[in-house]
Amino acid sequence: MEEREREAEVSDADAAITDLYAAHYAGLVRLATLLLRNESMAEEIVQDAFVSLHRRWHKLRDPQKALGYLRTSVVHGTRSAQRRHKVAERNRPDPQPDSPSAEQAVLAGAAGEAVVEALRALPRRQRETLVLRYYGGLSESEIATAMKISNGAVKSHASRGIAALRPLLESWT
Amino acid sequence: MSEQWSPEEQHLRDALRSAADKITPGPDGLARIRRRTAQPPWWRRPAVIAVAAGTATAAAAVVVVVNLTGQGEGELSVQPVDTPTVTEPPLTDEPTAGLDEPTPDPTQEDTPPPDDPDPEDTAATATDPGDEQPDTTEPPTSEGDAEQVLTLPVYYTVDNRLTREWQQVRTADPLGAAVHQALNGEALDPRYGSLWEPVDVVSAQVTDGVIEIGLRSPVRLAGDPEYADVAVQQLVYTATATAASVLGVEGTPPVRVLVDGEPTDDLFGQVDVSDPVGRADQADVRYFVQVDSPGYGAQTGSPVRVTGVAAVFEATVLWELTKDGEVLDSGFETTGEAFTFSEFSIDLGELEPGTYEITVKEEDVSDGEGRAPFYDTKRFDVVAP
Repeated sequence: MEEREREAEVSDADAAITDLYAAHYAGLVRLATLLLRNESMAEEIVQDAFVSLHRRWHKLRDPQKALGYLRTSVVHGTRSAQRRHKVAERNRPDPQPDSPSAEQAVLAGAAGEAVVEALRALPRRQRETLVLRYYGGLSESEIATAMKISNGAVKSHASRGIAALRPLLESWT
Repeated sequence: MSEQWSPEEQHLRDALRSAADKITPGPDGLARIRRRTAQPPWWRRPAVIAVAAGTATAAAAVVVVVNLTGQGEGELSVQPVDTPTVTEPPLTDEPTAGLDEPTPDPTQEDTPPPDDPDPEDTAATATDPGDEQPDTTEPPTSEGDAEQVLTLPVYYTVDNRLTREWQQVRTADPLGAAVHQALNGEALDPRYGSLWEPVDVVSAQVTDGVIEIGLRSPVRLAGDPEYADVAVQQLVYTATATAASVLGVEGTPPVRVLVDGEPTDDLFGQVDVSDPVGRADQADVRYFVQVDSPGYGAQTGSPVRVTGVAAVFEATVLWELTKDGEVLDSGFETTGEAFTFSEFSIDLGELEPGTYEITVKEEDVSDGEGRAPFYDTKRFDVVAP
């Protein structure tokens, strides 16, 4: 009967993954894309998070905790992807052509894009905090959990991040 | 979430939303996930259906035999034995007040006979040093007939910091055997080394709240003189951990080092050991990431759980499981507390029989700059039940 319990657990996990996928997959892919400088990896990272959640379902069970787990995995996955990307970039013989500066983009009228572009240039933790708060709509503690940092650190990363973006955000008004 | 946002904040939100709206995930995400989770778990396969959950993970699979022989010479001879034994080590060896304090007979106090290295007559089966508190009985009476296989905490070094390995050793003298293993650098993990030139351990005992370890000259440092104190701590950590976890000694008694039967003022000409030496702070001497189980080369059943201790930034360790050089799985796990030595536990789930390597490392907070992250790698075999 222990086996039956486990089998039940597995189909339970399958069902949970399907529900979570329907509710959160697109949002998590968007979140991952905003966290990444390199967009191509976003879907893969989110899929990894789901696979890993499936394996751990017997421990989590609770859909609310599961979403937290997915978010944390995605944040972490984007960090790893960025590190790998960075190494690849460093080993590239020629530097990438500079992306258009924020100022140029503003002049070109794509104000929102300029903000996102500038956001991507921020230090990692500031970027993560801002994306999780202003795109993800997460509370301070939810952000702290996803990033594995303290609430105080969330506050300070957020305020430094906003300060760095302020000139752009103001010029947009 | 419905806090009052400033105009700047609202702009940021709008910018992020409009960027996000342009992103449309591919149509086949769920199918891809399903394909990866569809592999039937091990308990569904008929051949192993009878195996219960929670099969013990193996600690150290190689058994080393230490014989204390040679009257007057006290030579330790070490040889591998090829019958692996499965044991679960305690998670930590931090002395947790053994109830049975050994009561060494005072008659033994001053003259540790160098030809009779105090066989600890540990009558219990002691496969789990965390639970067993074997009595240390009479002073030396029997001659090596009390040999048994014990799991001993032995400290080595990586990058001049202490790492611990649980070794199964057949011995009548766990204290002497553990220190011997440490100072002679006979680690199962090839990355682990010793800061000592191999040296003979001729006596080892606990007397009046002091652990006394006798060495035979020459006593020489193999590593950088700058880390001579770490070398001494390699001995002190090994002796105190073994005393606490195997002999059931309460607390952490300091260690007196004898050379050729005499007290000595210093070791390696620079570390003062005229008074018994206590344990240094872990943060100063221990390596920051360490896997305790499975031990290097261990054989284990499935599912596999990896345990260890780490003191890392943001209380997060990363892990990667490989087989034949290919990454099978990876992830992260939290430890109890950031920057403090605390336990972690990683569920690898069910694994096919075969040889694997698990690497646990700290998160690289420098983003590729600065020192390399601390890590520990263990190779282990999953065997069919």
